[in-house]
Amino acid sequence: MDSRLNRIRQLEDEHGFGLVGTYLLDYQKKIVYADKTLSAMYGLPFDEAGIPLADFLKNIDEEDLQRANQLREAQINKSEPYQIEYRIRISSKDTKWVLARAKAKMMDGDLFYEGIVVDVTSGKEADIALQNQNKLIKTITDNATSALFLMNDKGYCTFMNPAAETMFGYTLTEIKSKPLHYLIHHHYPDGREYPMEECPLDRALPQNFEMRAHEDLFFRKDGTSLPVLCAASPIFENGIPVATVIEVRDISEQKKANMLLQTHAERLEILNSIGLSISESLDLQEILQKVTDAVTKLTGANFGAFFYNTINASGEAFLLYTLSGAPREAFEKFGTPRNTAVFHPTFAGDGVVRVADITKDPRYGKNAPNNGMPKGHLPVVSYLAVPVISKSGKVIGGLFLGHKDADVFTAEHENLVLGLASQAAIALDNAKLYEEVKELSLKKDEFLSIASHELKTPLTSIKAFNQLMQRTKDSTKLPDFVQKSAEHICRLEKLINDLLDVSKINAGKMQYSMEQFNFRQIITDCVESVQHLAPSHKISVENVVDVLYTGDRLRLEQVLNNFLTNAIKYSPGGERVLVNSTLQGDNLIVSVQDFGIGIPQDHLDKLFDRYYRVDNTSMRFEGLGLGLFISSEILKRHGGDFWIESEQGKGSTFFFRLPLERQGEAEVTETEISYKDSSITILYNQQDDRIEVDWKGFQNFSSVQNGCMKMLEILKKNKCYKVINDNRNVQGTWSEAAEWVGREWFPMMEEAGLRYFAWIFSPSTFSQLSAKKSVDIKEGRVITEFFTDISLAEKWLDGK
Amino acid sequence: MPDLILLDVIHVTPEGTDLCRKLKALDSIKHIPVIVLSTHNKAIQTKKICADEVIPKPFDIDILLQVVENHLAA
Repeated sequence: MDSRLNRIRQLEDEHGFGLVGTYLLDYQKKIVYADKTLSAMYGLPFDEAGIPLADFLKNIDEEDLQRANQLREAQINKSEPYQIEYRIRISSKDTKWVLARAKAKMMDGDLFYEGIVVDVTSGKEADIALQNQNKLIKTITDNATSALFLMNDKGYCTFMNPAAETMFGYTLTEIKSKPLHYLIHHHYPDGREYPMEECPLDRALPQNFEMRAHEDLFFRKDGTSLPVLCAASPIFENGIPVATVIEVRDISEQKKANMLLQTHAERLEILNSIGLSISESLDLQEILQKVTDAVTKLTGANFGAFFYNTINASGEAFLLYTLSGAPREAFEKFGTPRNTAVFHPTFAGDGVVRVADITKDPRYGKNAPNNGMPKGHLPVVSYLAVPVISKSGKVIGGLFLGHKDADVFTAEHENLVLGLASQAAIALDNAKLYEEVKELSLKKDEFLSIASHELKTPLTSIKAFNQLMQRTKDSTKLPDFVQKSAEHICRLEKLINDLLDVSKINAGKMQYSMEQFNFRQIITDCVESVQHLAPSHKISVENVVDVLYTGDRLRLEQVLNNFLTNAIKYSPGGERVLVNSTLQGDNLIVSVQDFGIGIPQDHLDKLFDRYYRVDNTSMRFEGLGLGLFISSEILKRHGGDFWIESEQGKGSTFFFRLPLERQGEAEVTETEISYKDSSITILYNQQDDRIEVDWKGFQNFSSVQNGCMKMLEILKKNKCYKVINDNRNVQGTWSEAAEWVGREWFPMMEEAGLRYFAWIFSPSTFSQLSAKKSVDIKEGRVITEFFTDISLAEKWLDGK
Repeated sequence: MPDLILLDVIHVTPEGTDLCRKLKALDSIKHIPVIVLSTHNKAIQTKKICADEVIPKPFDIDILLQVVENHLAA
């Protein structure tokens, strides 16, 4: 043994270093007798006389010193052997690991420790590196957000990190029970069973391929699924496949974000395309439909509707325009939405109404008769309504969205719809302007076409007369040609003046200069001048009143001239024309009567149709002469009107009426069951349960409206359903009110309870035509019947 | 083929006014000038009935001859 140790010593001496040193520690004296190798290991000079223990301890690394001392002292106290591993500092940055082993040895009654120190640096460093690496790997796998599995060649999981546990809800013990595939990958995304043999993750190992960024659907322990991105890497040891590392990333958040992004992109695209297409379009209906479709799609509503406002005189009635997500029939039977508490804020432009459940809203169900949605209405729970407001600030419509579930519409939806509504408003404004311009341009074209024809006809004759004058050899014929062409030139001149007047009227630029004059004067002046031009007829002034009138004298002369020349033109064999002027109430009535062939009834109807409307600026003169159109316009500007009585074969009478300034206050008497003023008497006849109405004299828009509203009042108060409406004392015409009576007043009367309306004709043709027009365009179900005999009318009503 | 057509329109009805339009719609005829004579001058618009000329009745015979001559010379 000693010889072998000596051999080692010899070798160490030769090589100048050693890995094993021996020593003897004199514990009482704290002196160490170290051999050469040990001294060298500690960087101390060799000394046979021994080296103080303190010198050795000085070289122990600070980190290990305390631990080494404690352990050694503890063992020495028990006289037990010790074994300590510690580092010796050999330079400022290098240390070496040593293992010191010693056991007690009593020599001459003193305590000695005999031991060896082995340099274990190389083994210790490898050990530490491995430990560090393991620690690092554990840190990495523990902290990874991806789930990591290690799967053996049988497909069983042998390792999984905490992320995998959290992601899938299995513990390692649970997951070791079955092949991994059948725990987390058992079905295809479409729901079919997924055999392990088909799984690429399980094929990766035997077939030796790496899989990267494979998107799939995995399952948790609780059966729920999650979209994942995974990678599989096979591991080989000495060419033998042993395991697969599977890395799994949960991409549900990413998917959600992607979907959100996609939704946003889609919305943007819709918004963008709708913005473009509606700003390009000038078709009202098309814009409305596109906007309705877009908002319905964007908000995911069950259906959407765009009501375009057409407010009538009573401030109600909206027009149903476009629908999306529901057939037109689904709404048609309900008519237009009324001004209920729910709809009001939208049509009044008060702002957006967004309600999670409209049926629980305080505004809901407040209006009779339906108190909520009418029967058969598509179910609406979530409700979103946005007003569409034009640049001028006027509410032009409302966008309404409904969904059968609660709380569907979000603030984001609200903003989207608001954005689209403002775009729609601009497009609608443009379209409306365009339509107005288009209509004007059509009118203009029509006007030009008529005007050019009217102008061409006399010009043809003038041209022909001129050619005749140039080539005739018979100079006695010349004066005749000159005279005739002069007549055509006059006609042309008059035509041009008329055309100018019409164009002024259409542009609203006809100027009137009012002055006071005696109306008798213009009658005699006009008769004289027309008589001069038309010696074929004898124009007689029968009655004429002296009356001071304020108006445009020249324009009124134009009217009278027109009436007189018409009378002559349309009674070629008539010989006589009679002119009268009378005062009737507050009206001046002028009539021109001829004794020609008369005007056929159908022609009279046409004439009436062209003039009955309140707005009369369009081209209603077509084929009727410009004169009557201009006359009607001039009369209207003076608050008057015209009408015609005609009998075929006997002649026609043209009348015009000009209102004079009112003489004193009109007398009005009114009770619960009656009303009376200068133009109407209304009385509720209790015995026969009917309202008896007697209209008197000339009527105009305001007198008709006033009388009609009084009638409505008395009908309501007395809960009556029958009216006898006597027009026998009505004179002239009330055509301007015909449309209002039919479209608005009759529906109001119907709502108030009216069922039967007996109408006794006025003797005046135009009054009769006004009444017929009202009934023709009447809305609602009131039954009307015309009579000429009051007793027949009473009989008819008695039977009801 | 006639050189010119004189068309007397008595009634402003489709039967009366459509004839001229129908003639003018025929490729083989449409080059022939049509002069319409009518008392319903105002109701007949040159454009709408497609006449080349409308002469209101009553008319001066010299005028008619002159207009006919103008169209034949053209």
